[in-house]
Amino acid sequence: MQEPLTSREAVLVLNAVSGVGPVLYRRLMETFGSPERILEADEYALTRVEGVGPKTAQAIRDWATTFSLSKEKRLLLDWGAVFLTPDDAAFPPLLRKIYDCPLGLYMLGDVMCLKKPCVSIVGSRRSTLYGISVAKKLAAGLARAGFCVVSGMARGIDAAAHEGALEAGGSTLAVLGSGIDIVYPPENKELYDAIRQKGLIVSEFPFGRTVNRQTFPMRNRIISGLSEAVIVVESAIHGGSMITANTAGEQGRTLMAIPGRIDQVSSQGCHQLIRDGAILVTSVEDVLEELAYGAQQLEMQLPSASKPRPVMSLSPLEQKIYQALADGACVGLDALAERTGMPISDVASTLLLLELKKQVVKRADGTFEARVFA
Amino acid sequence: MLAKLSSAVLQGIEASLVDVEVNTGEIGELRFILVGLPDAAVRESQDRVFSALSNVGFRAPATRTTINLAPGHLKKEGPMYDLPIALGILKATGQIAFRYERPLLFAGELGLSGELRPIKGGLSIALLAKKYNMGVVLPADSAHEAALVNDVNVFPARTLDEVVRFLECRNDIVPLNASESFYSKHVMADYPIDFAEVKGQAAVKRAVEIAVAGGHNLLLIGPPGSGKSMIAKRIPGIMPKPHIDEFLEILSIQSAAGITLNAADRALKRPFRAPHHTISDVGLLGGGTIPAPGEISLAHNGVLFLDELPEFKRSALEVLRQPLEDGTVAISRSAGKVTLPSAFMLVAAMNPCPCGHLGDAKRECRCTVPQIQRYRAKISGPLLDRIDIHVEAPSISVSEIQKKENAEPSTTIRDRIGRCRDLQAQRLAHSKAKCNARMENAEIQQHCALSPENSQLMSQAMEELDLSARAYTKILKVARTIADLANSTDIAANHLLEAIQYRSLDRQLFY
Repeated sequence: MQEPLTSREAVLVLNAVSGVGPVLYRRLMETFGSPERILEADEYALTRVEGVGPKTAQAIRDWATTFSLSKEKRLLLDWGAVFLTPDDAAFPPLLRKIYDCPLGLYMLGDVMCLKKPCVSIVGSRRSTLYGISVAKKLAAGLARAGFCVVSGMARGIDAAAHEGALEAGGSTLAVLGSGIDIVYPPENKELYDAIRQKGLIVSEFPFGRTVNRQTFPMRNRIISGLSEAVIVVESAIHGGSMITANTAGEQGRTLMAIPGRIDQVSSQGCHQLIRDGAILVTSVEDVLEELAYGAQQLEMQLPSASKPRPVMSLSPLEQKIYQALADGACVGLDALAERTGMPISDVASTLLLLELKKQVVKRADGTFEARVFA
Repeated sequence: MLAKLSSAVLQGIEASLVDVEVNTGEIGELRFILVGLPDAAVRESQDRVFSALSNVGFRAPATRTTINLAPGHLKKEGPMYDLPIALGILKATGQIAFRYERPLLFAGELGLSGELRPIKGGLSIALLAKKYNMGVVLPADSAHEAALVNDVNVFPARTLDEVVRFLECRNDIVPLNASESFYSKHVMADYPIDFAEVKGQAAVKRAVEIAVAGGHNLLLIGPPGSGKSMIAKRIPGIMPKPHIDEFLEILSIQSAAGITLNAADRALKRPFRAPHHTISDVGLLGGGTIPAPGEISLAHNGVLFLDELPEFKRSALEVLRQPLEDGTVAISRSAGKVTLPSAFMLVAAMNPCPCGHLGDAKRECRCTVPQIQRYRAKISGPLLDRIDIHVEAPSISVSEIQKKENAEPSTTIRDRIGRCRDLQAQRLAHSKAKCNARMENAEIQQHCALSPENSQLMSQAMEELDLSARAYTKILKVARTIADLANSTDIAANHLLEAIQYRSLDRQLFY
């Protein structure tokens, strides 16, 4: 007979059993009182709990066939990670309050991040330069103001938010849709390492779990659940960030959105949110004011309002094209030729020069966007 | 009695000589024997010929008869042997006496009433006749294409009766002159569709002009409805007018494929072929038991348009590589090996992403970044290697389409391209390449030299845009063409920069 499981070990096991989610877990707890007892219960007792079918009961009884507790504990040690349950004092109190609070969280990195108030910055994977720069600046400002910036470490806006916070020397927290040992998307490996060093990586999934369609929305509820406020920087109408915005609403968190150009598909989701009552945010001050944090609470000085980008020496032609892009729109070759009255050949060659001077980027849809914001 | 006449057999687009031997009055039961690897259509010729003979007032042979199509190892196809067989029977049975002295080639399908119907390969047969210094008797419809060959007497005949009278020197048939051919009457006929009808899309038009001017292959990237096909269809119209030799190549392929049999529009122009993406490798390359030209040969000296490029089977795209390189395609079949010309300009089109709406202002694209990257990576490196210019075609708004003013007409663009081609022809006079796109490495080094500053610019661009190494020579060649269009001896910085701009598919982009 092996040693009886501790309460934390029992939660680790139940967290990995397929079919047991936060809601079912709560019901099981109401019946059995403690996680250890759930694992000790016989199949009959288990199936009497509402929502537990024979399959789930079987999975709970035979958890040892699908999950190795000793391996999971060893991995926790090897990675220097911890598994916190809502019973732990260090467990984020805001998250504890949500309806479908996870059974527990794997955490890798600096757990002190959780002591700070959290604000999440989320947005589209396919972003514009505008979105990237806004996310970065906002994250930097909030981090300097003493917030921990929460996001999902996805491509685009998420990554920019983490980077902004890290560059400002502040705290940032990444909630993953996979086990904490899996880096997705792979190109964010560097960012992952940086967050692991200076921030916190969090996930409810066991080691080795890979991402799939279901894990992202689950991850999103934790992002909003951890945060006092959720700021959506850029999202299309059907973007994944709209799910986070939804869960934020359900959890009663403050929802904020950054406006964009009305002709830009990538901002339509944000505009929809604002129409539906989200708070329009244009600066860090807006966020602080809304969350009722006085400026005196700030640990550091706020960054000064957006100053115009130092302009490199540009030729008259380059200047002309750059000016045509200065309103932040993403414009194709044809439209630029029309705006400037220059022939296509000149527009094409000048754009490439501007790109080499890092004033402009070419986007996957064939349009060009200027780095208008610093 | 034995009669012998000359006809031809088509292999690919080349014709070779066939002797049609008819022997009547043989001892044995009354039979009609046809040998020399005839296919079903040739075998059926007996019935057509007998009916035609009786309707014109002759008799079928009343004895055992053998007909031999020599050489015996080549497969004979189609109804073109009706005419020589009928004439052979008439001669062998002594119903007519040939008074016409000069050697003649015969080919034609007979109707039951004795009228002559057009056949495939009339042009190739005329070329064969020229080689052997013979005259050629063809159905009037097929004679029009054959007449374009210089120094051959092409006798157009409408009926069997006409041919018989001609051979008995009772009635003359005037050889058809090249100038009287349908094709010559429409020489340089303008294309019914014109670039003036394409509103907007200035960037694509510029890229198209560069591509045609330098003989570069082209890839258009744009959402559905951005006018990619519309533009592609108009490209043959801005290519330099085909030289008569080029046109003979075009026509001989079309003739061998049977396209000229009932073509409504007979004019001297470059072909435009747009096979569907479900096409088989054989359909694209050519083949069949008796090798016939495929789409790439039918597009010879013209445009091969592959819409929805990523949807084509990978194997179909891979087989394109060699013809793109060589300008010819070799097909080996049991019936023999033939080499067909296939020097076409490849114009391909694709959507920007799997759903097609990336960059579309009206519709939201919901493809993820990896999906888009995977979709674009479907075009294999080696094929991409042979496409010099990539350009994005943005979706067009209704207001743009309704714009009243007409754009530049095809003729203006064609004139500019013609001047640019002349420039290249002068420069490349001593090399195999006829245009910038076909320059070999040595020629690129010689003609596309960059100044030190421009070299510096190029390396900077290669590095910063993460351009693949294969892009390097493509960019130089395209820059050369852009410089030629500007009538500039040297490649200037702006020529180079514009050329780099046309490499969307092998560089880093912002998602």
